[in-house]
Amino acid sequence: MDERSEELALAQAARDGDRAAANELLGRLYDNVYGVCRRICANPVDAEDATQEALISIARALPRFDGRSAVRTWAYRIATNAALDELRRRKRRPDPIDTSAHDRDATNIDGNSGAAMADTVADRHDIDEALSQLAPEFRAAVVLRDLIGMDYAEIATVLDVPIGTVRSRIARGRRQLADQLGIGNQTADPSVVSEEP
Amino acid sequence: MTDATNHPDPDSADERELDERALHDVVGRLVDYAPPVAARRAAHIDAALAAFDDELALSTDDSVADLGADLGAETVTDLATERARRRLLPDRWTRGIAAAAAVLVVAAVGVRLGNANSDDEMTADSAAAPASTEASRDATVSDESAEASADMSGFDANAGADAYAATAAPAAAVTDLGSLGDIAALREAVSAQDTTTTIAGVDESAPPVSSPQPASGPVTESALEPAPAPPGCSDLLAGLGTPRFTAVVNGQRVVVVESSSDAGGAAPLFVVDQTTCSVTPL
Repeated sequence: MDERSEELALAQAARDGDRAAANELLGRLYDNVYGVCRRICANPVDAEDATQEALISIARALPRFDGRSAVRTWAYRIATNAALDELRRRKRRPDPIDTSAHDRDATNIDGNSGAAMADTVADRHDIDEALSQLAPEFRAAVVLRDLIGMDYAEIATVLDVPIGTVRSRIARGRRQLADQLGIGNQTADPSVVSEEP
Repeated sequence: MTDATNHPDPDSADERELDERALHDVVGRLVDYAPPVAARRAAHIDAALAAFDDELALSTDDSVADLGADLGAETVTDLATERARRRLLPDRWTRGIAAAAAVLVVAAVGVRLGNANSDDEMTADSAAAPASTEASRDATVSDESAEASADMSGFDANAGADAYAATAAPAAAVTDLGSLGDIAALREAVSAQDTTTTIAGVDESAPPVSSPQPASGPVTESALEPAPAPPGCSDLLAGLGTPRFTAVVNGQRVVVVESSSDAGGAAPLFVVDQTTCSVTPL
């Protein structure tokens, strides 16, 4: 039984009231759900809030899961919406400088040398800054493709947009990220980012 | 973490806008984030499981309720009973409304009868009141009593009229002279110019009500004598004819007047009651 079938079986067992199956499934989904939220929110604190909301929504929806889509596609859709909602809430409230968030990242860095740790923290801060410059829709498309590894059709399902729109968002998001991070020789075109096909 | 380079998509031509190395670097930066600490992860999953338990409990309650509604002959029986009760409900309402309407009608009739009895009592009380009720009114009575007295004032007037009629009735009886025998005696006395005739035989069975001298036997006193000019009805007597006799019948003074007629034959006689000045042919 492959991973997809196993997760489907767990979801069906949880739908029938199997609490252990629900616990097992939530544990399997947790890392990627947090990854989606972490990169879309571009902030570890907001990501944790979004992750909590996403997991609760998944758990509440499990008894009604009908299996028409893959468990992960269904779960990532919930996680993406939770992260985008968290972004909207953050726009409505002041955005204090949270140094503890990146300090929290720093505590989980594996490395022996202080210089390597500093570089890692700087890199993580840079990617958050670069992601923050992306429109949330572009961010979600890039994260679902490059972080989670979903194909375009699944992303189109999760974001509820045509595949062509998914492709465009991914390409432009990547290019802007690379430009923000100073990767390669691509020239950033700010006007392109704001356009919606 | 997943590496995007492991998921080539033949349709993703836009991905070639970044060269292979640049794309690899971007994806490498994306996947490089610190996972949450284990305690926070456990807390998140526990909270989600609690929500799962709540949702499951709610779903179980709904399922049990659905089963209870769907299963069992008793439930079907109960539904039939419920339908029957609903069918009977309009009839019950109709009966209730009819009963309420009947009660209202009875109450209205009772109130109406009560008012009528009150009127009767007032009438009886008023009738029992003497004609001199007005004189006995107390100025210190309350407003209600004053209103009641005012309402009764009209009735008192009627009572007074009735009382007057009752008083006048004996006077008429006097002028009727009691009986045919009295009239014949008067006529004979007039014919004979007999001033000593005593009239008797007045009907004792119908004594005058308010006669000052109740008939306690035969009219004892009826002295016919030449009529002097009566004091109270002189104008009437002068126009009527010539007074011939005076008499006392049942205590009332009467005058027998002979009409001054130029025609031949006996002149008609009239009896004039000197109390009421009423005229009665003799």
